[in-house]
Amino acid sequence: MPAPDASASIDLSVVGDSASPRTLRLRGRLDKCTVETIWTRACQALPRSGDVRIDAAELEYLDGFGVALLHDLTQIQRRRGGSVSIHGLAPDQQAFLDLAELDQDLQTPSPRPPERSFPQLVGLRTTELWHDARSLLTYLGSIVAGTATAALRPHRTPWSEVFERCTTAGAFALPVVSVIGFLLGWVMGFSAAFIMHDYGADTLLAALIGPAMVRELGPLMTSVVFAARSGSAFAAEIGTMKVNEEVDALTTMGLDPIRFLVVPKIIAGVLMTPLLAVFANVAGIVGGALVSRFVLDQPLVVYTNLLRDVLTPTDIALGMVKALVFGALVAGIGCIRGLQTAANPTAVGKSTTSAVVTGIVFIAIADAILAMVVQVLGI
Amino acid sequence: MTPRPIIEVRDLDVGYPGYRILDGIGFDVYPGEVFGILGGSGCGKSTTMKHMIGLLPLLGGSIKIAGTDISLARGEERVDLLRQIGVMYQQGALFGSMTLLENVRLPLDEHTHLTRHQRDMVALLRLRLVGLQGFERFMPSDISGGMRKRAAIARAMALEPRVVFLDEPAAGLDPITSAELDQLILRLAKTLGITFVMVTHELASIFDTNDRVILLDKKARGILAEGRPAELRDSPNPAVARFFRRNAEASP
Repeated sequence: MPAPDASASIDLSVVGDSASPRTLRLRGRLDKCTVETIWTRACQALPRSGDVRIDAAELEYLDGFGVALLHDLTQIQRRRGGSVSIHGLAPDQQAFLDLAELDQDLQTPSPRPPERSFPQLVGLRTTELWHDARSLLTYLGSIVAGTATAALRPHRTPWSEVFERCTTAGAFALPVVSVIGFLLGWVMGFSAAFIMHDYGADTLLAALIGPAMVRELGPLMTSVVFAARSGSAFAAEIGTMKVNEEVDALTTMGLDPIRFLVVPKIIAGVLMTPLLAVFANVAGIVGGALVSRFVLDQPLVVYTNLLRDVLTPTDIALGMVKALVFGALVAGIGCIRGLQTAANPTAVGKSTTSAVVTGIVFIAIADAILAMVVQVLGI
Repeated sequence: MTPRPIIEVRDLDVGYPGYRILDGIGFDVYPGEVFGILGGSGCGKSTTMKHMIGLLPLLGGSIKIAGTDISLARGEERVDLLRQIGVMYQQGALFGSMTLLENVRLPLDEHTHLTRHQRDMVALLRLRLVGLQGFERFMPSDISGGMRKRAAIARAMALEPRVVFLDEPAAGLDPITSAELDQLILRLAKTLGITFVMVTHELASIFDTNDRVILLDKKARGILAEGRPAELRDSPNPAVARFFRRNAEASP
C-alpha cells in the first residue's frame, strides 16, 4: 500500500446526474491529506432518496480517513432509504473495507445525559452527603479503634514511621508557620495600633495580641497550614497507594492498613500541631511587640508586663487543646479521604482537594463547638 | 527489488546520559513488516524504542524515519515526523478522565480540521477496527487490560501513522487475550499496510506476528542476531538458541 502523499489530490464527480442509481466517481488519493476537501461535498452530492453507486476504479489510495467518509456516505443514504455500493476497488482497498464492515452503522455517540433538574440535584447531593457522612463515621470508628490499640500496645506502633511523619509534617513546616504567625501578629497589631492610639490605649496592645494569638488565631492558623500542607499530602499518598493496590496488598498480608498507614500520621498530627502552634503564638506575639515598640513607640517592657498579666495558663492550655483536636481532625480526614480514593488516577486529585476542604470545614466546626464548651464552662 | 527502509538506525548508542547500555547498533525496518526488538530484561529494548520515538535524546548515531533524521528534525518538521508514528505504551497510557472515543479522537481534535462529526466517524472506525465497537462511552477504568491495549492501538493509529510502536503488548495479559491481540496486530499490518515495531520477549507473540527480529544482548553490548524468528531459533550461536529455548521452556 503506497504511503500518503501531502501533494496528492482527490477528484469527485457526479456521473449522469439524473440517472438512477446516481454514480459518484472518485479519482486520486482518498486519505488524511485530501479527505477534508471533499467530505462535505460528497455528502451534498448524495440524492435525497434512492441508491448510489461509487465508482472507485481510479482510486489510487484509500486510508482510514477515506473509509470513514465512505462509512458516512453509506450511513446517510441508508437513513434515506437507499443504499451505497462501491465498485472497482483494488483488492487491498476492498480488504480494508471488508474489515470496516460498511454494512453496519458506526454508532455516532449518544449525547451526554441531560442536565438534571434542581430537585433531582438537591436529592442527589443530599444522598451523596449522607453516604459521605456514613463513610466518614465508619472510618472514624476504625481510626479511633486503631489509635486506641496503638496506645494500649505501643510496641506494635511503627515508631520510625511516626518520627518520619513528625519530621516532614512538623519540623519542615516550622518556617512557614513561623512566618505566617509573625505576619498575623504584625498585621493585627498594625491594624489596631492607630485606633488604640486615638483612644489613648497605646500601652494595651499586648492585651489584644496575646490572648487572640494564644487562644484562637495561633492554633487555627497552624491547623489550616497543617491541612493544606500535610492533610493533602496524607490523602495523596494513601490515595496513590490505593490506586496501586498497595492498600489491598497490606490487607491480604494480614496487616491492618489503619495501623500501618493512618495511626502514625494521626500521632504525628496530635504531637506536631500543638508544638507548631507554640511557635506560631511566639512569632505572632513578637510581631505585635515590634508594632508596639516601633509604631506606638512604647518600651518593650510595657508590652511584656501586660502580656504576663493578661495571659493565663488556662489560655495557653486551651490553645494547646484546640491545636491538638484540630491536628487529629486534619490528619484523620486526610487519611480517610486517601482511603476513600476510587480506583482511577483522577480520583487522587479529588481526594487531595477534598482532604483540604473537609479538613478546614471540620476545623471551623470543632472551633465553634469548643467555643461553646468554653462558654458553658466559663473558662 | 528490496524496498527502501522506513526506519534506518545507524551506529546508535543506546542508553541515558552517563550510562550507555549498547554501543553502535544498526538495523533497518521495511514498510509493512512487523519488526521485533527482543532481549532479556535490562538489555535496552525499551530504551532503544524510546530513542526511536524521540523520547530520549540520542547519545550517538542516527535514526531516520521515512527519510527524516529524528535528532535533527525541529519545529514543524518534528511535528510532521511525530504524526508519522503512533505509540502504544505498556499500560496503554489512556487518559483516565476521557472516554475511549475521546481518547482516540484527541489527536484528531488537535491535528486535523475535520468537523466534530467527521472526527467522530474516524475515531469510531478506529475503535471498530480494534474490536471495541459498543465501548465508545466507556472510561478506561471500566474495561479490561486487553481492551485498554486495543484502545491504545486505536489511539496510536488515529492519525494514520506509517509506523506504530508497541511496548510489550503482551505484558500482563493472559495467553488467550495475548493471542487475540497478536491476531489484531497481524490483521492491521497485513490489511492496512502499517509497519509495527514491537518490543517484546513473549515467544508466542514473536513467532505469531514478527516478520523479522533483532536480539539485543547486554553482555555483547549490541545486536546478537538478526533475521526471521525461525532462523534465530535454529541459530548455531548458543547464546541466541538459549534465549529462545529458555523462553520456550518458560512459555505456558
